[in-house]
Amino acid sequence: MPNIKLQSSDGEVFDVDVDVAKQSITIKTMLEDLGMDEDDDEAIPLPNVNSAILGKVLEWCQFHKDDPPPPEDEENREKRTDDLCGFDIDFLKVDQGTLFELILAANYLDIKGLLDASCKTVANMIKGKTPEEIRKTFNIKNDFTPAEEEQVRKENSWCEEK
Amino acid sequence: MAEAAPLDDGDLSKKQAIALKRIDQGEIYKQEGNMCYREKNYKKAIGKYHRALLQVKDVDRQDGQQMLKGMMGGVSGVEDRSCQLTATMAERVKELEMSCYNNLAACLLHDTNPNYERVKEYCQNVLKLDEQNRKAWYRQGVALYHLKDYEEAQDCLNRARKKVPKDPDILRYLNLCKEALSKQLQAEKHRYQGMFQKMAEGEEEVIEMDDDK
Amino acid sequence: MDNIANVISVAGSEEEEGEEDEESSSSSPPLEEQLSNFRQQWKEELMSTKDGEGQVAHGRGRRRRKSSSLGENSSSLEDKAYSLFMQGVHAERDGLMFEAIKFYRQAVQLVPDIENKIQNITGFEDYESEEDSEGSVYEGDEDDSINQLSSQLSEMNINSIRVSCEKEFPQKGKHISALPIELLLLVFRWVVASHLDLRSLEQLSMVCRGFYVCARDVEIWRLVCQRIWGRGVYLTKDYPAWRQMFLERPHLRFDGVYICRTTYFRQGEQSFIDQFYRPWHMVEYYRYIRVFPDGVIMMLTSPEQPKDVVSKLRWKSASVEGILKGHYRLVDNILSGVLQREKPKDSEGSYQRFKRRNRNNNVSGVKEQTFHVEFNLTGPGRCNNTKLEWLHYSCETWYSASTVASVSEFDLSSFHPLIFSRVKSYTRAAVLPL
Repeated sequence: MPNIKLQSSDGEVFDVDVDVAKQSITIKTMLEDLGMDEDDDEAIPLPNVNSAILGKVLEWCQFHKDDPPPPEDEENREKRTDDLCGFDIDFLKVDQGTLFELILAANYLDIKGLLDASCKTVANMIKGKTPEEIRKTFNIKNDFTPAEEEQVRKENSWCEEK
Repeated sequence: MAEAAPLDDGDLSKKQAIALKRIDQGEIYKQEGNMCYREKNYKKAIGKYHRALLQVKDVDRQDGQQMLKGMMGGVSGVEDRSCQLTATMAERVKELEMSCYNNLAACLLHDTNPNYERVKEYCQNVLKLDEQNRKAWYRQGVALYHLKDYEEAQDCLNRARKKVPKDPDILRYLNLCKEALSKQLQAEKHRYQGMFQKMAEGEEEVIEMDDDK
Repeated sequence: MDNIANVISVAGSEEEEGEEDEESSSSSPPLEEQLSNFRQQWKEELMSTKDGEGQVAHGRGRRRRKSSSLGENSSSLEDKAYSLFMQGVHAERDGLMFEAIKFYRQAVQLVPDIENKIQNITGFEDYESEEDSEGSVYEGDEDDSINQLSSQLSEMNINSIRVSCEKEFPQKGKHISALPIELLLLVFRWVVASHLDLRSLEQLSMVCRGFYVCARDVEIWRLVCQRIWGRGVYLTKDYPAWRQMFLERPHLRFDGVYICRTTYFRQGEQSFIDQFYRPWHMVEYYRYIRVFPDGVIMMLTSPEQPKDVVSKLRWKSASVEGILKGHYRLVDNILSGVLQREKPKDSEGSYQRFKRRNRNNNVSGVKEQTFHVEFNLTGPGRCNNTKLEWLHYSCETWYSASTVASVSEFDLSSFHPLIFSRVKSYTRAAVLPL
């Protein structure tokens, strides 16, 4: 199996299987353009991703390298199981900072599965919470004035429950 | 440029320095790519151009703040983290992306069996950044010709002609498209003629059958 | 007429409201002349008008006082110019263009760059008030600030914000503000999810300003409307904005169940021992209707209480005893559905409307039954999608003996409307993004 060298922003080089790396559409495109030649062993620098995160990303890619590609059409979309697999659930049990970094890295490297899984995880942390709970969870400052807050609450009064 | 209030994620100027470094490195890769291209080492050039693009991808987005936009319009209440990631840096990134995508398209076209879809994609990336880019229009026209989309190809080639109407390459491809289109037309005519004939024969048969009854 | 009162009030801007004042603290002679002219006119007109007009001066006066207090720190000239300018703005808003121009001209004569100075003092701009515009003139300060707010809030848009939110406390590790806006919007789309949990989106809009702007993103609301009304939905004169369409156009709610509780009394069996004793039973049953964005409808009649039943209705694959499933269509606010009883062993379920073969043995010759329902979707006030009123309920029965269906229509007099009840667990976790 041919390998490819990926270099994180802080200089660490990861030697990985091409099949693993091709989970990233960005890298896959590049490899397709090059043909199947080995890229004369020069590492590919990824300045947007540090070594910790790149390591995690590659771990995810390693696990999912044999996944079938996701179906594009609407009908089949509904039929497949969309719940996160056990690995992903555990994989994403990380602190918030890492979660956001994974989102950024998945976006940079164009890895749809990881992007979806991590966004879904963050979304589930938000759903069902009141604004104050959301602020507490994510350490967000409330920059509304009381009057503005009241105005927004009025705009949202349709979903208030009696 | 130093901020009065300390920022949580480190100095803005530090981030700018990082961004600058990435842009510089990107340009270095591009230059290396150009050298390889001149030496006709297309594969290596492709590798260099991709690396260049990876350097500047999302460089304006360290920590989510849109660093490249010059305008400072902010929601009142949010600190104005005036990031002077300047117009020049933004320009450099744009120029770099345009050259890399253009050159990638060029490299791909030199391949024995080019991936024309990819060429088209890269040309479109350039055109998103610069609608008037002659080379991109031309190469897109070429790709479309090979993908047998002759009318679209002609459209692209004509746009490329706007600046240099007598460019021989463009004219050559326009001719190729014209020929291909007329061949297509002939083939269609032939097919329809055949169809009408068959229909006519079919009708006669039906009439005959009725008579039999 | 109003403008004259304005000018008078301008003249007496340092003075009490509504009172006529001979002194003018302005130092520029042309203004004085104009003012005295207007004053004259005002006196004359006041003779022939009702008392109510005085209120206008009153209301304007209050606003005037507010504006004057703002200008307290600057020179009286600027003060004057400021008040003139504001009067011009009010006149313009009221449609009195000529008067507005006059005021602007006067203001500019006093202080040439008064317009710029105004922008610094207040953020007041032309707007379309969300509140009733008729009443606002008389209500003074409070209403102004609400209108200002809604204009400010509506003017914030995605291109003007640079950071989505700020940290409350310093923290290590990346903060959510590290996500660029489009990734945050992606997360928001996951929050809404394919089950259209708009409530969570609205909760997000109340977190902070940046989130408010993102939660009002046009694209998200467009996708929501597409999900509800199909790909071909387009903006109209009645519904010129996507979120507005969602709020005002009737649509079913997917994040809960429509429930109707019916009770009736049934006479029990006569007791053997005591002839005169006859118990009455109160029978209570519930009807549940659950709908999904893709057109699936489920209906269940059951004596079980909601808290036991709703969890069973969470997924389309619910296999509760006696459940009816089918498809529905919503046209304006009329909901029409066609349902069938789910065949237990058939793995495909009974989503098809017309079954050609009946695989199970027939009971009493009944081949197939299809239920046709029709409701009027309505609701009180703002919650306009929470009530389903019965319009029609019939059952088509095909017997194995014949190919003709017999239709029996149910009498709706004992059928009460179903009221929507949100079920938190339905939208607890995202499965698919919007």
